[in-house]
Amino acid sequence: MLILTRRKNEALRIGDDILVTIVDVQGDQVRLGISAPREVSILRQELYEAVKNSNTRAALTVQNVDMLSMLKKIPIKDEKE
Amino acid sequence: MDNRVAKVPSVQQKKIHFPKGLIGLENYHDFTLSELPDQTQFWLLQSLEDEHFGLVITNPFWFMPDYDFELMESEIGQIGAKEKLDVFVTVNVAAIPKDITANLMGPIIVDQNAGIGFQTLIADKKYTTQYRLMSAKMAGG
Repeated sequence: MLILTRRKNEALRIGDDILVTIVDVQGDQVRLGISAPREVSILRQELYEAVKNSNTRAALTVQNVDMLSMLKKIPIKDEKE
Repeated sequence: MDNRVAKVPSVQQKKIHFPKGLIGLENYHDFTLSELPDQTQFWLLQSLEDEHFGLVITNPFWFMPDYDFELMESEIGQIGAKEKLDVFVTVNVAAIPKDITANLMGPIIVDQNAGIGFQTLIADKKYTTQYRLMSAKMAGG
């Protein structure tokens, strides 16, 4: 992993068209500004981990498939939380 | 541009290729999408590469009619016209019905005609990875 030191208001460029700016630093929080083309997906790593873990957990539950019939008793129109 | 998609899927038993695999599980590329016995809103997405890997998926619109998200242009480019896409979400089939949840944050988009699918990630705080399909009220709580 490449590790760089940057100060507030400094930036770094990734490839030709991605610019990451250090907008602010407050204690252990860093605010980043990111300019990237529309087709580049940018998301918090923990969201990615959450979906990955959800996929993995769900795959372990296929054998419980019979439990789904219990859900049939739910009147669909009332099912709003 | 509005890339909204919403309709009830009609599933044909079909091979679906996921060029990028699933999120965090990039090794799984080929699945069959099939109906589950006695179920009208749940299907099985079974890996063809690993018989032990399969996911129950559901149509999110039967329990959340206003489920809504936008696809990126680059994602739409991977598959066919948005009118032909079906949207599913994965289900964690807990052993206790009230703990059965759907992952609204990582919907699976499938073009059944083209036999291609992908999973996308919705970075929207209103959607959780653990949405309970049986409300506390219905569970007798």
